[in-house]
Amino acid sequence: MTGLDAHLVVQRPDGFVLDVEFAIASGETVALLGPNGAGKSTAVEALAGITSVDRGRITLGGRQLDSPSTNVFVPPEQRRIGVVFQDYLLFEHLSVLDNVMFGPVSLGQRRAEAQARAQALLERLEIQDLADRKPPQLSGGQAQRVALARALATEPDLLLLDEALAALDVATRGTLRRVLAHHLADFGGPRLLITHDPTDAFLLADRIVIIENGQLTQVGSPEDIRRRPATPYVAALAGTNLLAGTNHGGLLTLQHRAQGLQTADTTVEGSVLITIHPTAIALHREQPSGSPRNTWQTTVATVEPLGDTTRITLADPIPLGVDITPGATAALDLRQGSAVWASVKATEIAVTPAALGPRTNPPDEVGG
Amino acid sequence: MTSRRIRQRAPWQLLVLGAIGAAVFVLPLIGLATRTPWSRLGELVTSDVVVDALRLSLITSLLAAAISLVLGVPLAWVLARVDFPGRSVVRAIVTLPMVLPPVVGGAALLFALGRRGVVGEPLNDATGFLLPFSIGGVVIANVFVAMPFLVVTVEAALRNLDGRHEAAAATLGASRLTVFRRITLPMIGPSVRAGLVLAWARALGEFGATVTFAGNLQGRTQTLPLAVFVALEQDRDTAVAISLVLVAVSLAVLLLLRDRWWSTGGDT
Repeated sequence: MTGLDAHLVVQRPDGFVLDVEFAIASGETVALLGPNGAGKSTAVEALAGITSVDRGRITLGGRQLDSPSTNVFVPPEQRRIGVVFQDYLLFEHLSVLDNVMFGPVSLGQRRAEAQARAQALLERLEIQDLADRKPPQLSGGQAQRVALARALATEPDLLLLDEALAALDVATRGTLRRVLAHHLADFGGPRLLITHDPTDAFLLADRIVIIENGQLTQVGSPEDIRRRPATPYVAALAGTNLLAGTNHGGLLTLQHRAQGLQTADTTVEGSVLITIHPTAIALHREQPSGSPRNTWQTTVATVEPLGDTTRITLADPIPLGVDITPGATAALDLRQGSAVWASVKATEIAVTPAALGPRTNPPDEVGG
Repeated sequence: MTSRRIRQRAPWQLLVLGAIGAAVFVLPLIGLATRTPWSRLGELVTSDVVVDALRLSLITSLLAAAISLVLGVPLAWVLARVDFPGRSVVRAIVTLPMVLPPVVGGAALLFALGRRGVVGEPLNDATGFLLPFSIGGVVIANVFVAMPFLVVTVEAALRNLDGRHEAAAATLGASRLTVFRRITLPMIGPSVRAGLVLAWARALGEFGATVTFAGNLQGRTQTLPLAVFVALEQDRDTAVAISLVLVAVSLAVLLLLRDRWWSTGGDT
């Protein structure tokens, strides 16, 4: 096999335990997505060989890199993993060209060859003009490209990007995400994107691995994750409302909520997670006709413009996030404290078994 | 930085105490200047005793600084990065010469490397080589008192260094030694240079260990500080002249290096 096969079990001195298992095929981009403190940095350190795993294994391109059971530990300098670090960690005393040449020269390549390769990479990333600059003279976006060029220069077996966009401001992020997507596609090996930003994961990855509190909670394509979030964290990421409750033949009883709901999905019985997409909820000034079970009166808690949609959050009985157009917001004259009617079609209320994933306590509801 | 500066008024208490503090250093220089026989100065500083001592002082202090650099940086690295039993004891012993009276250090060197010393005797028997009362003895005495300054400075820098750059270099395929040479050393460069200047300055002013271990032979082991001490007994004017030479050399080096080498901020 040519990809990455990893089962990382790391017990940190502070008692935190990381235990995740995933594989990445060549040419595939996987995003390891999780909130801060989920264990992403520990995973990066274990993969790069900065720490060792306590149990499990790391196999890359058929080569064992770390395997406590067979007493194998390959040090970082022999792993052939190209890492783009969170704040790039460029060598400030070296020029951009020397930074990119550092890997090939360290691996024993002759300087002339290393320089030719570095220059070719700089051209490919369209930063050849920066060759003589020192890292402190670079913008965030330029530094990111230099870091990518430096990682690619060693022709690694795995490309590992650790929060590669996190250090950039919002305005440059969008552009650089597209640039990054383009260059990721050029790299033929397995690609692992470590991020806390769902936008990076959804736009760049073929597959998303979610970790929370050191544990893997969901794996799937961006579309799977968006449609069927397994935990409140994932639901919040995807902008979806996630509620916990029980399903009895389509009649949903919500945890800690007096108001019930009706779903068209009767295949999943018992303890369930309920997802409602924010665009699936309709708001009205007058009581609408339709199933009274999925229609209730409430008040507007917040109104927040989000570009071409407006995010409304509703107060009790069910706190939900609702996305509607600014036009509709104006037509309904919605503002904080407005009394409104909310309605959802039974077909728009999706349910998944609450037992999915290792999470044992069914979560409370989460607004989008 | 070219940002606008807003001058804040300094508290007078700090100014007064600071001025008294500065006076501690300025007054002796004034005293030295008032006793200087300016008309005979040229003749005095070109006398054999002074020229010999100046040459010897420069050679031995620079050699000692160089040896401190070559041995002290690796020692600092080991103390900062290698976790071995008894590390704190080794660190204490390495820094001991900073607090120990140099005369005691010189005596200890004599017991170790002298004609009857634990290392000195077999060395002398085997090679006929004798360190005390030779220029080599002066250098060793200087290294003994000066190297701790470099080790302490460099070790502190290594401890404060963000190790992630070194980890990044390792992921790029660099061996440990390459990482040290191409990443670690350049990153702690300012501290290494500061430690080097401190070590050199300490070696230049070294007296006690040198006189105990290497003796006081003009042209062979009599450095400038030793020459001053001898001259104070016999010829006050020469003592003052040598002192001025020491002040001039030290001040010149410190001023020259300050900008480029060991200022850490944007100071002038």
